[in-house]
Amino acid sequence: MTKQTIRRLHQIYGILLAVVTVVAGVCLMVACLGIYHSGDKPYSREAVAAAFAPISIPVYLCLGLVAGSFLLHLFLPMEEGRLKATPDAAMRLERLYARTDVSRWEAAACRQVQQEQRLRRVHRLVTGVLAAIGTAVFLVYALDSRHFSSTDVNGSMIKAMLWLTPCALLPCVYGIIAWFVCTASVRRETAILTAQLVARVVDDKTKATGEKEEAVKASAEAVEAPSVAKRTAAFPERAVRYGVLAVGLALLVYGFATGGIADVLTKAVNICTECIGLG
Amino acid sequence: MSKIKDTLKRWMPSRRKWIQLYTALLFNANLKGFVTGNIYQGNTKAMCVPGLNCYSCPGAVGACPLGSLQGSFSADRSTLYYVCGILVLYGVLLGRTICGWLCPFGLIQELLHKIKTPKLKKGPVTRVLSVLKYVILVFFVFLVPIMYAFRDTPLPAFCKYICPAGTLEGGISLLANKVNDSYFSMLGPLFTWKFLVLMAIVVGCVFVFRLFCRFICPLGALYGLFNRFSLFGIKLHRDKCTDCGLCLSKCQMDIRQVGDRECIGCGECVPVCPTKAIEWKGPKILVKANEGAATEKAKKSRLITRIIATVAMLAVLVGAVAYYWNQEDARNPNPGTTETERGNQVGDLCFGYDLEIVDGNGGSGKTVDPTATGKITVINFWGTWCTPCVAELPYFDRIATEYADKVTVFAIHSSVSKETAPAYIGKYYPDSPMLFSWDGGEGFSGEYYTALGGRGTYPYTIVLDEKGIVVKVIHSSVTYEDLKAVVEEIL
Repeated sequence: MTKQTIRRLHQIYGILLAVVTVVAGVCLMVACLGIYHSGDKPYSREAVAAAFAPISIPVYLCLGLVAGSFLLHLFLPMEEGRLKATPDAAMRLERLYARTDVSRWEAAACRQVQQEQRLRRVHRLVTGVLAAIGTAVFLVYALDSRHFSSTDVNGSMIKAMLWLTPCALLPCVYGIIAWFVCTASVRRETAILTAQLVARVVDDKTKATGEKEEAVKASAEAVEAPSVAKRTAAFPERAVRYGVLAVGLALLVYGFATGGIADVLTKAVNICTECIGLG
Repeated sequence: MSKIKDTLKRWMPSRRKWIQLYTALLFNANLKGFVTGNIYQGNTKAMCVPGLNCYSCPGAVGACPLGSLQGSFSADRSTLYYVCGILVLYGVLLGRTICGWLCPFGLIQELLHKIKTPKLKKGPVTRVLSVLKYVILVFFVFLVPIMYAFRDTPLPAFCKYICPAGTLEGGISLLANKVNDSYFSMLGPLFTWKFLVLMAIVVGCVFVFRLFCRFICPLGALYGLFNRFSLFGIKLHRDKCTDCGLCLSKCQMDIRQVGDRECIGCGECVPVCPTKAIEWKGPKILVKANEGAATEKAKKSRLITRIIATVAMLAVLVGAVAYYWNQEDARNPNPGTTETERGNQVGDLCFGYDLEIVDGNGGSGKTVDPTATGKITVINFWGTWCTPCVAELPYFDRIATEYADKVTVFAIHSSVSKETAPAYIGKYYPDSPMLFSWDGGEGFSGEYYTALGGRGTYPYTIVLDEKGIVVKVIHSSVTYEDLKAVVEEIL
């Protein structure tokens, strides 16, 4: 069998397995909902087993296909694809800036770059503002203790979730849109930057040696070479680590000495049935 | 021969997988629990394990750090210090390396992802979704438990509404054992919801690498904050990095750069870096530098170290399993106060016990036998540490008030942390007609609770008729309507 045939075989099998896995999962969920909606309380092992019996076919089929997929990979292994380099656009931009002299740029390029940066700033600002508004709105709700009833805990949680969802969803959705816009903007800026960098290196080399070919080669190397510039201020890693370690140890020792261990033990050795979802 | 060698190399679990499996077994070394259907109740449970491992799992020998953290808000301040201390210590030492190497639920997710289906790759959407776990951390782990702690109602919101590890390791593991058949009576909307969450995560993990870890897990979110300065982990030498992006391609998490707060320290990126800019960080004695091919001598010495380490680790695991296997099961009913003709099943004459009446000032010295009241008796076992117990207590109070001349309600606090009961009673039920008491005996399961067939789950309620015959046994929380229906049926 050719490599392509094997690859195609794996793809088809994978899709089949994916479909069956989703179907099996959905069947399990539907069966669970069916038991709940049947209202045959109190439930028993027999009742649950009877409700799950009809979905045994997709579940066993899924398990069989999973086993089959491993056998397929064992006897007809698929060649692994080569790892494709996907540099982070923002990191690459940062690296290029570390070796460029902005003062030597053309005015038009500067304007374009400023425009791109402004666009990204606006999107970041809007995302930040949406996140801040969402947080503030939710905190106004959540910090009011009247919204958390001790007698109707589940009802209170559902209401809180109804408040939380839009507050979290809005900045998230905008964040995803902003991400796409900003990535495109970073790519555009990288192109401008690369062009400026190459032009400056070519200029310098041509002036110095008079050989254009060598200058173009040098410019390419300059773009790809690792940056040795210090991009961010040094993070005092060691100091923070040992400082936080000391705080952690102090908390642990103090908590242990004052009997904090007993409550942890209490919770751990008894089963809070609600906490594990039993009810 | 070389083909077999290649196949074996490809199919043999990596060192990281072995360690994940090892820690999963070590954290759940009480294998006896899976056989008996009981959870371990020994002292090692006072220690939190680093990964997400439900302490209601029959095999668990340590406490879940996240469950303990949520519980600590409604406990003494010393508990909060202790749990925070442990979490900070784990975070500073290991950061999210815990997720990659030590978390049992991480292993389950990775095994599910091994199923050969088309996979959803990471991208901007997943990167934004990775913020969700911080929202969950703030809301479910801090905000809600703290708000309820002010109302003296312990509510581990993440455990209760989301944690799939709890549903799988705690709920389903317990239900799987025939001994716990009575637990089926508790199932209802909450279990339905949690089962749906679990199934969604299980199916999702087949297509998305570590779905729970990346988007939901608040413990990972917490440890991620320590990643930048943790002792162990992955380090990037910026001066050697060319930003080629091979590491980002190899990594399946939503990292922006190696070693950031999303990095679980799996080390997959270390060998792919062409400039050796990525290294393990940690004390030099434990972590080798990324310097390419090692010499023969170094290889030999590393092999010897590995063999010694493997033998030592296996010895610890075998020792732990043997130790926990030989521990006595504290919850096997062993009522010392009971009489042979009495029992705890429906239709039996209930075991009697001289219960000390407790009020807001502590024990009163007066004792009452719940089987000799001459009225319908409702015996409820509760604890101030138990969310559903304190939530349902008002229903018992209402029954005791409405049927004052026909029903006696006993609210018996668990033997553990019973010293918290008087203050709670004094604050919330100073004039209640309920008779408050606390369970006697040493250890975690009180004498009377054990005698009446309690199996470590709270709340637990038994209803007796006027003659002291057991009419109803309820292993879960109840509503006012449930209680009223039982009482009306007897009347």
